[in-house]
Amino acid sequence: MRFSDTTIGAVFLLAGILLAWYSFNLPAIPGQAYGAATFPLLIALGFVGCSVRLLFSGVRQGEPWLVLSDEIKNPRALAGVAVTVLLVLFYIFFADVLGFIPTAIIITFAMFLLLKVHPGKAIVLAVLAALVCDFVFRTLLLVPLPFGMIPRLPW
Amino acid sequence: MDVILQAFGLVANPNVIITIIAASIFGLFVGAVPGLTATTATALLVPLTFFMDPVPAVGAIVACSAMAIFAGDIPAALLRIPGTPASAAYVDDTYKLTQMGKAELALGACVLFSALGGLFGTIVLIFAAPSLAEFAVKFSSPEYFWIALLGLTCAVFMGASNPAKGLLSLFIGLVIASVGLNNPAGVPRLTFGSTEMLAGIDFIPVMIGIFAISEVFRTVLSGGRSWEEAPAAVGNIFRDWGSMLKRYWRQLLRGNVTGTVVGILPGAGSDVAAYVSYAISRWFSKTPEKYGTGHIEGVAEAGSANNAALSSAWVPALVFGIPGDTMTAIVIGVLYIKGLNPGPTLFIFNPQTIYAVFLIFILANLIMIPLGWALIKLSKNILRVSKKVLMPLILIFCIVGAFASNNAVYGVTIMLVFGVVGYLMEENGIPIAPCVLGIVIGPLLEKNLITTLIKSQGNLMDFINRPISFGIFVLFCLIWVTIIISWIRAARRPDDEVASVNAAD
Repeated sequence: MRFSDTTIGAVFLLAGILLAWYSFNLPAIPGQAYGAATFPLLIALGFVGCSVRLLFSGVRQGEPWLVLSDEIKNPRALAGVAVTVLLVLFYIFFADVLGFIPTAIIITFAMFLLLKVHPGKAIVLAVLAALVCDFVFRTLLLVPLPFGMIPRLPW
Repeated sequence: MDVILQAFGLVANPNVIITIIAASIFGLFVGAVPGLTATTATALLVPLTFFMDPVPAVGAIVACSAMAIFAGDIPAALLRIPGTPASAAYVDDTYKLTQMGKAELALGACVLFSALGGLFGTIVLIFAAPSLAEFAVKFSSPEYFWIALLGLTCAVFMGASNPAKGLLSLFIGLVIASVGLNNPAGVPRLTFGSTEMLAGIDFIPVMIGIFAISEVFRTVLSGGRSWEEAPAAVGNIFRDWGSMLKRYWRQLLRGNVTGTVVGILPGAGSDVAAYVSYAISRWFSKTPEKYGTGHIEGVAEAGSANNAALSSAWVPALVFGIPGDTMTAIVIGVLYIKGLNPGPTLFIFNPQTIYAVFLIFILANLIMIPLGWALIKLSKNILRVSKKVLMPLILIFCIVGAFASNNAVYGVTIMLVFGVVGYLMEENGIPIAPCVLGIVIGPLLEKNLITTLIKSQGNLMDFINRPISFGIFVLFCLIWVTIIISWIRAARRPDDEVASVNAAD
């Protein structure tokens, strides 16, 4: 998904203005002219400068506002990315309830199917990956991966 | 001497050695897979280092990054797909050699010159860093401000095709660095009411997202297509070492020096070093027309330069806390986590740890030779591992790694957001490196800017009225003048071409 320089410029011009407006409203250090707002204000200035430059070159080139690459036009590929994002969101929202091992198996298995790996190979690899991750991170490195509904494994 | 003995004690520990070897193998593997860069290898390794002692943790990263930079040469030589950007400079030469049936010559040169370059960079690191640290103790806020600004300038303008987009990337990084309570006034800034964001945006999940998750997205978008060609068999890589050393020792030395100098510049790392020294090598060569057609001369020079830069990039990282490239940016994050806050005092309070790191650098560059040989022998099998199988595994590993950074799903959320951001940036030609360096250098820049402003009550002369700060300021101005001159030249060139075409008509 390629945006034209004009689009990028416009988006960051808006971002720069919003950032400047936000920074103006930050409380000052009493008795000091410089504080939390100084640095973001300078960044906002930078954003505006870059965006103006991009807007200038973008308008001159007259590119379309948004160019969709072939990959994006392919609905299957786009759905693939959406599924990947949903799988990570699935971890964020359900890992605590389901526990790490089932969540990890579901995510890896779904990813394998998405990339057209043979289902038999996929399920074996997914289970192995979940168990290895669990062993390395929970057992060896003591990361508190969520248990969820799964009882604690013997190791 | 006592310190060095202590350092030996720290390194000569079975745990440390095993960690280094494991990290090396990991780095070789990740670096050899096209699409996964040395920085990705380092970012993936970081969650594991949380749980190690300081020396093995930093050692693991040293070994992993050195191996990954070298391993990037292997797919470049065999398939013409550089495994890391640093190998892209001389990919045509090594691939043409393979096509001519001289793969062992190309890969032999890669192993030899990578190892020698790495050792040279390390020697410079060992001698330059402590003496620079003694000097840096005298630095105050204006000096740090200028060095930080110098680093950011180099990061934006070295190798960026579009300066406006490079700057944009830098400002995105600086905004990310501004989030949280950690600012001069101690007020919640850009947190939007979130408690978790008060602590700022965690660096590690950002790195995992930008470098690894974006690659997962790209693979999914391309349907997990794999490289088709089967790599060729490789003969004895050691056969031509003697003759190469005899013929190319000048190139080796020049590459070492160029690489080291580029590496020491804050903000420029091994990929810049490889391109610069390839260009220098061609400039000085008696046979410049042979470059890009399977000529070993450029490979020798650029191959040693990228590994030399890798080591010397640690000089500004350790002494000032200013990263030389994306990899040392990650290293700085790890150093802080391990309580080894970079800065001149590190050399005073913790010299044994630093010397241990230096020893690991030497060790890593030495074991590169046998491990590199083994990897080249196995390369046929490694390059056959398909991205389809690798990416789901990388995804789950990333999720766990991001979770482990603060033991909460907040890390996973950050990782996801920055995966999308990283993908969009890459697609739109906005370089990633300035953003990453902005995240690391941002807090340092802001702190020293505000401190100086408050100390001087807003008098801008205070930024340059100390001798060292004035010196760095002059250097900074010189770099800007060169940049502006190159812009003017670039702007003129199309006109010249038009003029010459008109004249020809």
